[in-house]
Amino acid sequence: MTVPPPLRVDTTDPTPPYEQLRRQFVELIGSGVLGQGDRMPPLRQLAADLGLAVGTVARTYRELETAGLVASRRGGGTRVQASARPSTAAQRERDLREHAATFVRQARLLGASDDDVRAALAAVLPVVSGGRPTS
Amino acid sequence: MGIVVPLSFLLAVVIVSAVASRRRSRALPLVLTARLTQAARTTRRWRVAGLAAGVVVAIVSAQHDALGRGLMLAVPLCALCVLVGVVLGELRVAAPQGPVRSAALEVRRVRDYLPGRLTAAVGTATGLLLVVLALTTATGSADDLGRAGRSFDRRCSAVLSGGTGPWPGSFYSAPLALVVIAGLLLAGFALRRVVRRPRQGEDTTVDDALRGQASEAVVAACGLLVALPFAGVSLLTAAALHNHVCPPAGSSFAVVVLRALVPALVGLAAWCVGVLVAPTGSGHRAPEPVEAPR
Repeated sequence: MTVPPPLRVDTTDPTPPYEQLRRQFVELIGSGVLGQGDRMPPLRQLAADLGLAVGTVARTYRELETAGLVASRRGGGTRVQASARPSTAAQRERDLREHAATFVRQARLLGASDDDVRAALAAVLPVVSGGRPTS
Repeated sequence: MGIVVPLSFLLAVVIVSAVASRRRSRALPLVLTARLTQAARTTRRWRVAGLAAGVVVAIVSAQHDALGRGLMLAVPLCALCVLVGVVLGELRVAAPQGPVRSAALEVRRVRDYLPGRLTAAVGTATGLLLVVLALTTATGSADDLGRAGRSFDRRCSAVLSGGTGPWPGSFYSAPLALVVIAGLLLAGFALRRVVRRPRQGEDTTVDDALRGQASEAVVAACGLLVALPFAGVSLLTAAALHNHVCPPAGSSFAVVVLRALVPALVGLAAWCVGVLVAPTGSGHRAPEPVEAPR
């Protein structure tokens, strides 16, 4: 098991923070990291950790609820209602290679060599893993 | 009765010293980043300021009211000040700045940070105090000067009745219950704030230890809020029952139980002081992050 990457919000990104968060949650649910019945971080906790207004995170959760991905219950928090698609090992492998290919394509456009690609990946891995150990 | 108070005091001194020295040796070797150092300093300073203000308030309170209510409320008011200090310290922890911010995919709960054994002991003492206060309030009568709930009166026969006091009826129990309930509500708010304040960087171990320390201080303050007034209520009740001319059936057993409670409660108060003096934050369970499948 590996620890999932932390949720990130870039306030300089033209995409609004609620949408950045929504996309990350959709990916987490779609990839099976958040399974059916899993509890989402409480609104106020997530808003405080990200330095966002509670209303911003509430909007993300509302959008996810509208899409049928999560359900909120008074006193029970917000829980994942259903995985968007079943996530098998083969599918995860395929998705991983797809994302890697996209990354390599972007790196090539910047004129990066194989070593540059590997070095960039090695530099970013601990940052994206949130300093948590992975196995 | 005569030996209970000095024995309890001696026990308190021994427990405070033992708990404080043991906890200092168990304190986490914390490696702090700049943000965590700032958060640790802010929360600790406000806790100490709350405690210092509480000691002043307790001294003033103890000198107020010759009938003992000021003395009874001295330590609970000190505990309230500690709780206010915790809340203010947690409120002053800085929110994340900078363009890129991150948050772990986790659910932090109050119970993850509570010190287990101390919380159980404080919870039990609080429950017992409320039961004893309800009983003494229900059985209290006005004393010879008409002060409601300050005497324990009982009709012994058709022609004889007796009364003893002071009795922890409504004269004492109403202000005490008010302060205890206010303290418990404040403690609940403080614990919620401890859990919900923003993470200080991505090193969750140290951040969780700081939250654990703050939660320990909140529970220890609750322990002080109830333990020493409860010891006083037990002593008063036991003395009044013992001195009554016709005590009710079973009162001798109640006197033994109430007197036995006194050293236990003083020991609990001493434990709480030890925790307040040297919080470790090592007794909590860190919240579990969601794990990604491989």
